[in-house]
Amino acid sequence: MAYTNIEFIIFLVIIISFISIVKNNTIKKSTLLIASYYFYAYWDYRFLFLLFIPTILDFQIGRLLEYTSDLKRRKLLLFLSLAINLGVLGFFKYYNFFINSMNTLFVPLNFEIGTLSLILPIGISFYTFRVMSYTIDVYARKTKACTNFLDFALFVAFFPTLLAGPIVRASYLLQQFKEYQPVNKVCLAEGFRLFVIGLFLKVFIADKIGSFVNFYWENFTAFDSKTTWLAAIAYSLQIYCDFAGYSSMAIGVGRLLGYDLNTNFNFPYLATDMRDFWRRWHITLSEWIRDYIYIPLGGSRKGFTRTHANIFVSMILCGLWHGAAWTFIFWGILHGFALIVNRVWARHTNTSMLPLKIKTFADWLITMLTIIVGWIFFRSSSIEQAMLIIEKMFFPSPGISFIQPFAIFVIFSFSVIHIIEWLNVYKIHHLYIDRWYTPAILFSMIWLLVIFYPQEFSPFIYGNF
Amino acid sequence: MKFSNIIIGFILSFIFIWTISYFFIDTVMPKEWEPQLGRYTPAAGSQKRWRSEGWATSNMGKYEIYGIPDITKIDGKKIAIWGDSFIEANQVADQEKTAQVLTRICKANGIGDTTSFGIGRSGLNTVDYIFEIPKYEKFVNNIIAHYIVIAQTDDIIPEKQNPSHSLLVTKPELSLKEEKDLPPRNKELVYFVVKSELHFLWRFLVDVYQNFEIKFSLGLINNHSSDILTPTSSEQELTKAWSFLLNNLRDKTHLPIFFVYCPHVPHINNGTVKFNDKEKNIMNMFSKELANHDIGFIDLSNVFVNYYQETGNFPRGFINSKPGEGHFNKNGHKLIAETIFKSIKNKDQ
Repeated sequence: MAYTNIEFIIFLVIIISFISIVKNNTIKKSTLLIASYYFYAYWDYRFLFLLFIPTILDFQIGRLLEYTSDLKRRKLLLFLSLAINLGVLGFFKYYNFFINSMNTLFVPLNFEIGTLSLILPIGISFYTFRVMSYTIDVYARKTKACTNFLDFALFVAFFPTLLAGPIVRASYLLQQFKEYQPVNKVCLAEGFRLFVIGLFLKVFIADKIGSFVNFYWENFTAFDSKTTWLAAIAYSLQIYCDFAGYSSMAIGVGRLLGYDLNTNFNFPYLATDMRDFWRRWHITLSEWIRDYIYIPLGGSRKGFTRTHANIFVSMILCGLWHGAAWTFIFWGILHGFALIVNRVWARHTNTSMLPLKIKTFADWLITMLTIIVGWIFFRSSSIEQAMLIIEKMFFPSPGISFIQPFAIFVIFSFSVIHIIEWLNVYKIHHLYIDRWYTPAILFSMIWLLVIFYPQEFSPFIYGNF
Repeated sequence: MKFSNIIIGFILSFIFIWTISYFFIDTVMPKEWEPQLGRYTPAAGSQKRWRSEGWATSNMGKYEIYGIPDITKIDGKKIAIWGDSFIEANQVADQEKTAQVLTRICKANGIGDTTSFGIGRSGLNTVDYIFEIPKYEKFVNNIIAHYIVIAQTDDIIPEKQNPSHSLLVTKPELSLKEEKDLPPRNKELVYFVVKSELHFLWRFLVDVYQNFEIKFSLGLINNHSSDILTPTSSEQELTKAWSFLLNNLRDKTHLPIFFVYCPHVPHINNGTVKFNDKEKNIMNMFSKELANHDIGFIDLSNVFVNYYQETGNFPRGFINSKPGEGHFNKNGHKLIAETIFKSIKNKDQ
């Protein structure tokens, strides 16, 4: 059940109507849990067991970790939880990738291991990470184990975050489940606002620009350098609007239900360096990587070489999390490398003689170029394809020119909004609830997306992870 | 959010979308009964704005002919050009449609008394023309030839035509089924929509009505795609069906008839510009059958390919669609008109 379907709207209206009437927290949470299981089963009911496994397993392990002081036993419990959760994720998501990669090594031996016909369960990367963060935090005594099974089951399966995040921390969400969160006018207004903005970004911008991007990528060798640049920038906007749009909808739905979910995006394309980018893009994932991979590896506490190795490993795993393909790993390598260069450059160079505005612009430009080049690997079906596209960008290449007006319009509009945001004036685009113009703009967005609804449905890009 | 702001916001947003839609939405046209044709046609004098592919405004004349207010009031020889949405050509202005371009070419080459007119509507096929040609010949005087433009083989293959139009059926026996012409629903409402420029609202509501489908049952993903192969007609069956079709067509008029085949070449596929036409074999078979029925065949394959090789431009596609895809742009229409003109000149010579 995608957020962009009419079935979801009907489903959401029914749920909100019901929980607005009931004032009992247990009934509200039970309703949301049943709704969440239905939401997941709508995709494929056979995979509901994948939600039951971490629910039962990690609830019990959490309680055992809470009450056990023996270090060996605690480590064993943590290992059991991580092994099972990562094992399930690894099997469904990475089994065929690793087998295919190994088979390329076995070619000279004329030997091949068979792959399996596997369906990637929707949202598995997200809820696995969410549950793992809970177990690790309980182990580290950063959070108390949840003693209410209903609360924990709802934390695992909470439908606004189920398919593509945000990767909400247990302490943040479980705390809200403890007490009844009313659905009042403020919640409804804020939730509606976030949901409409997200829907607009996804349906009106991302899906429509995606048609141009898909056509380019299917036929990239036919097009010239101008078109290649346009497609690369357009894809950067498509993935941003698609994912930020989804996140906004998820947070909006959470708000409509009376809950606060973490912000996941903060104008990432205003970043002036790669660290800044990762503080603005998919914030919940980058914080997860930082807290559960980078810092446990030693973070920046183990010297120059080890720090950079930790950054590298963290970003490679980040790339691998996004998908079982070498292109995603390469994307992670590129970001890891860029973060290292950023760090070294910041420490060992002195650019204070440059005028601030020029320095800031130069930093921004280099950061944006790095990000755009990275997205090319993200989108491409192979590293070879990505390299050919990058070659077309930086070396003049003849071919068909396809300058799509809607792509130009979107790039122009986004540039204007980002400049206004950077200048920190007239933040109309934030659509604060108390402004008189906000309802007019929100309704206009609704009109635009129903009138110009794309012909073909495009699933959320991050929903594939 | 204040309630008054919500109301004001809704009104302002309605004004906004109403203004935007004037420039960016495809419009609807009301339909009226046309006694000469014995069916409903888009109302003469109405306008169609087309924005989803290309950017053009077309003016509907009488008898479902674009760009000519009343064909019966024009003296001289007439050439009828038949087709589906490729001749309807909402994507280009009236003066750039094939028929109008052909008229200009004729005038420029000393055949000033010849007017070409196009009859096209999305989904029409050869069976439709069989029923329509006699009607037009009755009230449009001095038609000297019929040119039937086909852009895909679906127009001539049995049971492949658009089901809401006339059909060539093979079972239980070979026959032609004429399109049921139903009276337009909500005629007054459509006129109101046109007058008040509420096309966006009308299209949205019609879309919802036609496509509304909700499903709440639990899902089951199937990752094995089942390719159901539809049986294709044998060469013998096709030839028999075509012979039946063309016999019927030939019976309807004594005037010269030409099929003008406009293939989907060149097109972009897998990163290269391809010049191969997937439907070439079927069209070769069809052209042989045409010759057996004293019907001409004009193939624009080489014309389109040469045009691309000389100019680097595609005869199809627009800036707001995809290069080489979709309907003919003004270059494509010009190429078709020039080729038809050459055919007229050769015939005269």
